[in-house]
Amino acid sequence: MRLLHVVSSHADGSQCDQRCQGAAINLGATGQLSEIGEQAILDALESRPDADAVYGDIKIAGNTKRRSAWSPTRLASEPGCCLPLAVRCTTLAELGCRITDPDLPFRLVRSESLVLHVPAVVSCHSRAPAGAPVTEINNHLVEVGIAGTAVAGSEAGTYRIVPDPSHRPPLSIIIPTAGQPLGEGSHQELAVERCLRSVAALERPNLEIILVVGDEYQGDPEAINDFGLPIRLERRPPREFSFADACNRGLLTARNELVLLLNDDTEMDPGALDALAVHFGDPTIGAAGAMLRYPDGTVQHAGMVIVMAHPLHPFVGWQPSESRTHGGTLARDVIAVTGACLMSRRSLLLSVGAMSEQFPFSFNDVDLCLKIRRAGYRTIVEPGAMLMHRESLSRTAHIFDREWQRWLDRWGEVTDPWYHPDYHQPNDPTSLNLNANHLEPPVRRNHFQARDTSLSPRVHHRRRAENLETPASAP
Amino acid sequence: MSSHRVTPEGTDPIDSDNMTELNLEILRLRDLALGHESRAEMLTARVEELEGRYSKLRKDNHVLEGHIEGLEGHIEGLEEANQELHVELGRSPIIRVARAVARRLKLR
Repeated sequence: MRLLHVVSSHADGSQCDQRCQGAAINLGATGQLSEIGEQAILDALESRPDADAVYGDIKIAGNTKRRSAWSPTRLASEPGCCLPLAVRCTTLAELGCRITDPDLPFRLVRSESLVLHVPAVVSCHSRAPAGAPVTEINNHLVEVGIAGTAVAGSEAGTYRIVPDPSHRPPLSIIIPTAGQPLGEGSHQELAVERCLRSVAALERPNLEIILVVGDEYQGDPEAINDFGLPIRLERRPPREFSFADACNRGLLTARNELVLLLNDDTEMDPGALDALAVHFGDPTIGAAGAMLRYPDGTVQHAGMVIVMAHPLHPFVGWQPSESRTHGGTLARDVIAVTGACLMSRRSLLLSVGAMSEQFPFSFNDVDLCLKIRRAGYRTIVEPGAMLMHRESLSRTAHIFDREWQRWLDRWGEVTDPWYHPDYHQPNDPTSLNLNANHLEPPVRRNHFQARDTSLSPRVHHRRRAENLETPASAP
Repeated sequence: MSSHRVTPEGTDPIDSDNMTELNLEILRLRDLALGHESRAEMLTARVEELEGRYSKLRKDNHVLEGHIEGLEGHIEGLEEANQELHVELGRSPIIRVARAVARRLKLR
């Protein structure tokens, strides 16, 4: 196959013959393929006969815009993020649409098509290709089951989802706590109390709070100020502390299908819970994480990346707005999110063995997200959900050798499709942070092998929508 | 990865009547099974990659063996040519003259 139909206006976007073995691309009035564009697109489609579509990096007014691998969630936040899109003519015929149809990327999402990304400039444009209008985004949200409305974001061409206030599925929040004081002033407020106060301020109905406490708890857990929240105490038997064990105990006793694992040294911003929960109307979502800030307002977590087998936090120490140029403020698919604030489905977590006790301190969250991905579900980060995290209270910087070895044994060869191969490799991957240095390419690459986000064919099957209203049952 | 937990006889959580402990053990076992599957997939992929490299190396080796055989043939040919050269050298005029001079010197 050596055939690419280049379309430049709505008038010439007619449907192709179902027998055509080619692909079509809509470059709009001002776009043109780069020197390698046609070759790269056709090579990608030829290398993966099961792929339906392919897109690449682009140049806008001479500036390279690097793209993430295919992300259905990012598509609803930035509908132009995969344009121009080259789609097989057979796929267009199957979907019954034309290459110029604005909802084409959404249809590809809903049909669980395999869409490749070529990490090289395939086309040049004088301005960014226009994505689908907001009405199409909202139609898509309805189609996938998300009870929310897309509204314009802080940048042109971006959107955020405002959850429907009438849709608040029952939620269990699981907080392992050692009852550590904040150490501010003399009143010795506990970190967990500050956390609970922020949850209470959300005034969200349908909540269940499970505090998991053990021997290490400093003081009397019965004396915790509940701020009027429906709190249950789950006591761990005396044994060495394991974050994973504490989360799992809470998970087993949770009464709701939608669960949130939450560190006790966090404080929720208004709307954070609903901003995360709204995504679970989409049955393909397995885990969702928030954007976490340090007390000084800089980013502590905005989704993770895996580079050379090391799970790392990009954008650390940046202002949230500074991550915008790299999509850091948009809801999007990521390889993993932190367990400090991780929303998921109870039944899914139980089916994958929940938090692994092989990783009592480190990697348990990344391991969980990879198990969820392996089960065929997506992990996303929603920066519209913001929390403040006093990370030092709950985290040890030390990584134990045994945990690192177990991590390598399980996931040592996992690659992160959402981390652009142009980006720098970190100088010190063991730091668990990834600062500004990684986001500019070190040298020009001369290869552009297409990337896809599938892990196995199991990922590409349609799933049954799960009813979040259903009370949870035992594993 | 060591996953074996040594417990005194009769205290294996899988035998527990406590539902929480039993369910936690079920989760542990699911997690371990999944971890083993993931590791097995990773190792299978690595074995496939190594087999691919081995197969390529065998092909390269085969080609090299062909080259070696060819070179050995060349060496044999060169050795034969060398022997012929020695015979030829023995018959050359300068050698005959040198040998004649040596014989005359001996007779004196």
